[in-house]
Order: sequence, then C-alpha cells, then structure tokens
Amino acid sequence: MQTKNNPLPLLMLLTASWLAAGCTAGFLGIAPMGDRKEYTQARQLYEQGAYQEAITQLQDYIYKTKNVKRREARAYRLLGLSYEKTGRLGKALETYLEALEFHHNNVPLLLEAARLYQQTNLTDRSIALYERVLEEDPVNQTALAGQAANYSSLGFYSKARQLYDRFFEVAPTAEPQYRARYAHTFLAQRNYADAFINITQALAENDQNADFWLISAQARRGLNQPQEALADLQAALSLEPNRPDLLAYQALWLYEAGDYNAAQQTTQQLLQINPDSQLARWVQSLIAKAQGKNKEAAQLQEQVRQLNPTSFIGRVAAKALEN
Amino acid sequence: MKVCFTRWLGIFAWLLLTMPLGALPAYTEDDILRQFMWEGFIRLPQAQRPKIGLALSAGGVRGFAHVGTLEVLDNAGLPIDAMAGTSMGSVVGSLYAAGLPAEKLWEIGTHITMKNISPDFNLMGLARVLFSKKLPSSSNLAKFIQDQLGDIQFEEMKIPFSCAAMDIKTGERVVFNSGPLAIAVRASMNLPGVFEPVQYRHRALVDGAVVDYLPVQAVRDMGADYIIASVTPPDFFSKTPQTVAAYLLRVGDVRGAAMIEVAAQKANFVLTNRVLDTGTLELDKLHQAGEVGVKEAHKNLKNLQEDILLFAWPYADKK
Repeated sequence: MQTKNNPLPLLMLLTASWLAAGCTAGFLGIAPMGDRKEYTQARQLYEQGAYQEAITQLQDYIYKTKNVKRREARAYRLLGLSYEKTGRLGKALETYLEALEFHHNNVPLLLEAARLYQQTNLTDRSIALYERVLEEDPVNQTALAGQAANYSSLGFYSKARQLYDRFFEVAPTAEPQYRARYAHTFLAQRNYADAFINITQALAENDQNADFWLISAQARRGLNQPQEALADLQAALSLEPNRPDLLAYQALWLYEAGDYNAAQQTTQQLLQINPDSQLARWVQSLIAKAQGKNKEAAQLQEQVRQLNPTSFIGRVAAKALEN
Repeated sequence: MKVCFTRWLGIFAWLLLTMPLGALPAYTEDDILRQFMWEGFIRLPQAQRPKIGLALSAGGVRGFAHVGTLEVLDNAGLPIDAMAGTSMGSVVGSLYAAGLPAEKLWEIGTHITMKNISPDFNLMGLARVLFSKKLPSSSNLAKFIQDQLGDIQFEEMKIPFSCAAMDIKTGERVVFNSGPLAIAVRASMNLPGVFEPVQYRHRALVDGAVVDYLPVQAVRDMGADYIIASVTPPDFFSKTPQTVAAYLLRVGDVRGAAMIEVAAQKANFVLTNRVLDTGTLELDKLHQAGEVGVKEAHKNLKNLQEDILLFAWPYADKK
C-alpha cells in the first residue's frame, strides 16, 4: 500500500530504465534519438555518390561531439565504405578496426574488414576475421565464400572446397561465379569430373563468361577430351577474341593436336596483339621443329631467349638451344 | 610504417577495388607454358623421366607441416617415386606412402593425442617413472599406425618408403625399408629422454633425428635422381626449457638445425617450413603447422615445377 501511494520508486524505475536504454543503445550501436537524422543525411550523400561529403558528415557525427553514443557500428561502416569509394583503403581499414574495438562481434563490420584485408592480400588477417564471423554465424554466406576464396589463394584447396560445400548447402542457387570458383577448386585438386560438373552448372546459368569456358576446357583436357577442350576454348575466344591467354592456350593445344596450320595462325594473331610474345615464338619454334625445319626452330628459340632470358619460357628456350 | 602502409594502400586502391573478390586466376605466358609442359611431364611413365624423391625432416609437431607439403604436391600431380622420413616425417610419410590421402592426414591431425603415442601419460605412468625409474613407452604409436594401415609391411607400400632410427647402444643410424612398418615408424619417432628405447632386431632404438634429421641421403640411396626436401627447422623462441625432457628436446633441435644445413645442400629443392612458437609435443598446434606447409609449398610450387621441368629436359620435350 505504501508503494502504491509513493511515486518515488516509480520515478526511480523510470529513470533507471531511461539510463539503461541510453547505455544499451550506445553498446548496441543503435543511434540515440535525435542523431538519426544526421546519419540518414550521410547515408543519402553516400547513395548519391557524394562520398567526400558523406565522410565529412560522418566524421562530424562520430567524432566531433565526442559523444560515445555516436560510435555506432553502422556509422563507422558507412564511413569505411565511403573511404573505400574514394580509394583510401588504409583509412577505411583503420575505421573498421577502430569500430571493432567498440563492437567486437559486429558481423557487418567484421565482414567489411575481412573483405578489405582479403582485397589487399593480407590473407591471414582476413581468415582470422572471417573465422570470427563464422563463430557468430556459422552459415554466413559471405564469410563462407570469402573464407573459401582465402584458402584457395593460399593453395589450401581441400579446406576451400569444404567451405564451398558448406556455402552451397546454405546457398544452392548462388550466383554462377561462386559455382565457377568451386569448379576451379576441384580443378586445382585435379578432380576434373567434379570440376566439369560444376562449371557446366555455371555455364547453364551464364554462358557469356570466357573464364567459365576456359575452366570447362581445362576440365575437359583433364578428362582426356582434347577435341572438346578445344571447342570450349573456341567458345571462350568467341566471347573475347583478342584475349592473349586464351590465344596462348589455343596455340599450344592446336600444336599438340598436330594442327600446325591452325596453331601457326593463332601465334600470328597473338603476335599482332603482343609483338613481344615469347610464347607465340616458342610455339612457332615447336612447329618448325616438328616440320623438320631445325635451323628455323633454332633461330626462333634464340629470339625467345633474347626477349627475356630469365623468364621460364626464356630458360626453356636456352635449354633447348643447349640440346 | 603505418604511414607507408596507408600510402601504399592508397596507390593500389583503385586497382584493387576493380578486382572482384575470389576472382579466378589470370595466367601469364610463363604460367601457360609451365602448365602445358607439366601436364605432359606428370603423364610420362617413370622410365621416361627422372626418379623423384621426397625427404621429410624430423621436427615433432612442426613436422606436421609435411602434410601441407604433401597436399600441395599431390594436387599438382607430382609423381613421387621414393620417400624417406625421420621422426614426425616418418609418421606423416609412412601414412601417405601407404596410400592415405592428404585429407585423411588432416583428419588424423585433428584427433591425435598423447594417448595415441604413449600409454604412460597418466598416474600409473608417473608411478612407473618414479618407482621403477623407467621412461614412458611409445608403444601406442605402433598401435596407432596399425589402426590406420593394418599390419602393413614396407614392401607393400604404394610409394617405396624408408625411415631412420638410431641404436642408442652403438650410435649407429639404422634405416628401415623392409619388414613391419609400424614398429619402425615408432622407433623413428621415439624421442630420446622422453620415451624408453624400442627393443627391435636386437637393437635399442631411439628417434632417428639424433643422427639423420633430414634423410636426403636415404632418398638418394633409394635411387632418386631429383630430391625435394621438406624441412621444419627449429624455432628457438625465447622460452628457456623448464624440464629435463625439454632440455633434451632443445639439444636435439640445435643438432637438428646443424644437420638440416648439411643435408639440405644435397637436395635439389628445399621447402623450408618455418613453424613458429611450437613445442615438439604441442599436439594442439598440428593444424597450424600443417597450414604453414601448405603456404610454403604453394608459394614455391611454380619454381619447383620449373626446376623439375628444366632438370628433366629433354624428357619434358616430347615433341
């Protein structure tokens, strides 16, 4: 009865709730009332492509008032993204890392920092951050795909493949480029059958990507289907007719198939694009040798060697000349 | 440093921003010719190419880096015609040479504990050490190998394999390449001062790392023309050994580092796996060590392939 008549406990409770709400808002990275307008403005500037203005707005918002409640995860993230858009990756990374000091397990921030580390080839650091994301959210698609790409870049293909396995369990209809990366992981493990199955799936969704056709061609070669491999390579070249790497593969594979005229034509095309191509001359020397023109072959090998004696092709040519 | 790092990032920012994450690799002309020649090389029958050998060093837990090495070499399709290992190198090497895939070795690394090596790391074992003044036994290691491979003999291995131990009575290096595998591997990894000697073939055998830390010569003796050495040199981090066993292990590591320098010179290609801050028996760091092996082998793979192809010339020049 006393409590009912006395307003003090109720006032204390209301005050405590208000204080707690304020603190919680700060810790959770939620904007306190009144601050949202400034953040929204910054967001609009970012969306309009006015990144420098967004940076200024967000810097004011986060730092100027020295109000710790304004250290919102989303504000830091937007600031980091704005820095990235202006090409200041170092500042972006600093921003994400600073934000992570306040929001240790904030998944969007961890993902941005991990992605940026990955993009700057600081793979070990990226792995550590993606790992933290996967501890928080074991089926996070971005983290699974990012981590798989990290392990692929380190050559740890069995681990990359396991991560892609998990990724496709949660995202069976993911974009075809993920399927292509998965296929490449199999290719790197010389599991040509699975590489071919996966790249075929990727091509079924997008057959306008030359890289996909190249993977398919490489898988076909592994499966001992050289003619089909050449056909897939041709499909890649029809999409990107002047791509030097595709032409280089074609020259070598045609030479291997004994189609010297076609191989010679491809080397000419390659030399038009890159007059210093060592590989084109090397294939020409192989063709000359196969046709019994040993003197011409030796001359071409000498040219290859002189173009760049320290490259692998240059050293192969030197070795050939020795023999 | 921070300023330089930031500036560097700024310079390459646009370039990097245009690169999609996890993008498929772009190949140079060197890459393309190497791939082409390598495909041809690995398809050649053994008689038409040099015999390739692999030597796996000792190193305790650091030696698990060899699993990473093997995964990368296996993915590349490198034909291995002879293998030798010492201590942890013999454990990893024997399992692989018997036919276990690298992925299975990673799995083993996840589950292995001291119980898989010795039955004496418990109160009874402590009593044994205190009252009968006997060192713990490493008998469980032989059982562990048998559990993985069965009662396999050296002669049944898919890849010819040998491993080294030392006779503590005579100081001789003893190379095993015939008979039962499990006990030989146990002897090869029987750390002196930690485990009691293994009584086998009238010898008292301890870890081969004492006399043959990196068995390059053993691989050469098996007829290899081109030898790859996977090395896990000690990392003398700032910890001072705290126990008698730790002192013995440190002395073994110091000797091992000296032996690596000599033996590595006889190899054609050396993969140096720098596994840092990892004690000989810190089994919880096996995977970290393995990842070091992956990175080192992957980083050097192109150079290794080129070196082999040029060494193998004119074999590689089929046409």
